[in-house]
Amino acid sequence: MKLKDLMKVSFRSARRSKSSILIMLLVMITSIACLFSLSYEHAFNTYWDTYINKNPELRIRMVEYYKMLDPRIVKGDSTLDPKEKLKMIDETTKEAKQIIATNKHIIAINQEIAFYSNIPELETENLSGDFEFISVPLKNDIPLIAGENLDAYNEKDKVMICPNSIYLDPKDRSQSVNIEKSQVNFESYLGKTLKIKVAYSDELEEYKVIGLFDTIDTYSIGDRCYMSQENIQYLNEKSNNANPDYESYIDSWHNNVNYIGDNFYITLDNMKNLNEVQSFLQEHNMYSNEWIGMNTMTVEQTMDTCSKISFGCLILSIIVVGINLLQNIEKRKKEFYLYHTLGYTQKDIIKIIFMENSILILIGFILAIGITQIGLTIYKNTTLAGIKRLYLMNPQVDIVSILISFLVSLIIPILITIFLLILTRKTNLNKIKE
Amino acid sequence: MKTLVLKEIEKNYETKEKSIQVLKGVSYTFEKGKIYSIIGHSGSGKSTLLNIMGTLLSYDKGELWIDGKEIKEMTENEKAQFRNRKIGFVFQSYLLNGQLTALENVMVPMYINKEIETKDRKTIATELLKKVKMEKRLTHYPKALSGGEQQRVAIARALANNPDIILADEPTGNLDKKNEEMILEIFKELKKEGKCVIIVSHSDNIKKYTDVTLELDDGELEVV
Repeated sequence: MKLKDLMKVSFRSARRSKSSILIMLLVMITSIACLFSLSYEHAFNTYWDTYINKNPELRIRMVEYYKMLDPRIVKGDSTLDPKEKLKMIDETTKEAKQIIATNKHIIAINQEIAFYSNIPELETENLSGDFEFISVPLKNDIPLIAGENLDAYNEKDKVMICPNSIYLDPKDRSQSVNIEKSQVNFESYLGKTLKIKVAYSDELEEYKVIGLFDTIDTYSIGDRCYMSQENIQYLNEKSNNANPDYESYIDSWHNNVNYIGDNFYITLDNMKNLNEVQSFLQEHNMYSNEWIGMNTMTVEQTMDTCSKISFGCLILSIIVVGINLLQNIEKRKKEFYLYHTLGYTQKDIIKIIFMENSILILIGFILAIGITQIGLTIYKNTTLAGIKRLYLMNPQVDIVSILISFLVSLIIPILITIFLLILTRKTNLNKIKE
Repeated sequence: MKTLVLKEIEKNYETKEKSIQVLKGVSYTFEKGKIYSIIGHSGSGKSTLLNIMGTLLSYDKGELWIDGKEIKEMTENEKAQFRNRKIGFVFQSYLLNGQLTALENVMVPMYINKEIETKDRKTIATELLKKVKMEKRLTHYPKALSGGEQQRVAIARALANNPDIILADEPTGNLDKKNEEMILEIFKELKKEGKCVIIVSHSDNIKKYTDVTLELDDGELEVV
């Protein structure tokens, strides 16, 4: 039987049958659910790989090298001459930096600089309002997930990124800390300025909160606020200028080694080299801590849910559509017996059934692709747009999802065909009469 | 001219308790250009005999020859092709495909006949429907046709590949007298064209149209 004729017979048989329309609708609905889940999951995985896993921020680790320091410094020996102490710290810092630079997997090294001060606006009866600001060692063009790229700002721009919420020091440490009272939520400050008091001075510097960490699509960097290194250096200079003991610290300022802190930030070339780098650092009495993490629970739950939905839809599709197809064929047994009497071979009949089911599934599937794409676009422009940075995710019906869903859809007619091979093996006029 | 030859056909049905011999050495020669009717009580084996003659059922002993070819030597696919070209079936319940128009129903047997060109199918089908006086109902679906009209379309379908033999199982069983006469007149015309028409029927009306009446009784076929 020619393919053209086969398609004619199949299409003509399928087109006006109510059960055929039902089958097509069922295929369409289950295909939509399946395609949506697979496409969403694929888009999320792509987003994850492109913006998260490969993102340099996630490859940043903090390295502590305090164990390399003279034990007298670590113990806080007050008999040590301050200038001598600073000199020893400088030398150790240089040595640590040189050691780190020898590792091929470490592509960037930045000294941590800290600034400790106060935000008067956040000071309450119970909370001190004291803060720690840490430098953000980003010297690249990748935008920060949390907000704007700090490198895009002029060093004179006074901006900072805060955690979503932070615990401030209680004024009276002897009191048991009430978590709610000691927590400040920065979401209400997003886009606004906060005035930071320069240490040892009454001078206030205004800094704009341009981003937040600790939401589902951003990084968690603990209980600190972040600024560019230039701004922290600037604040430290101002503070030291206001410090009556400034002179004693003046020798600590060198061209490349400015420090108030004993940590480095290193950037790895690839996360898979982390263990090797950690071993290397440990050999040299240094330690790498996970510093920039991510609240992955919601993300992983979403992906897990997508996988379950996809799998569930595939099974549902096979069962529901399969049952309906079988029922459809059961009703039409007489028709198939008739084909046999008219001279159609078993093979011809199987081809007709297969083609008929395939046409129904194909039409349902094509409609499903169109509807799914529209649905994903609407979903992206509504729900995803509202979640910070998830708008970077671009879910659309992709080739892989289409191929997987379509191949699975084809299993149904193949299975039905095999089943019919057994069912309609023998026919005669008595079966037609029944 | 010998169209269909039965030689000592035997057919047994095996049950759990015993073996039932339905046909006990049936022999007859059917010729072109004649109408035959086969009568017999219920369970006498008429349908079994029709199945065997239509190459739908195998037989245990004997020979079946159609147009000079022995059927037993053929494979299933060869039988199917043979059936498609040489035999046309007409059923009591018409068995038209409800999703196809009258014209499309008539064309169904042609799709597997390589001897008919694609471009000729519609023409042939139209002519056949004209022959059975259904030219004004080409695009109608079976639901829109009366019983008699459906049976006429079924006859046109049976004639699609110009077979030599028409096997009709109670073709007028569901029709009134007027429609029955109409169908039998068509069979008469087919006989004049040289076709061999074999009808299984209980109708008394059919006797005036048939050339030979055969009775199947106790597994044996006899001329009445």
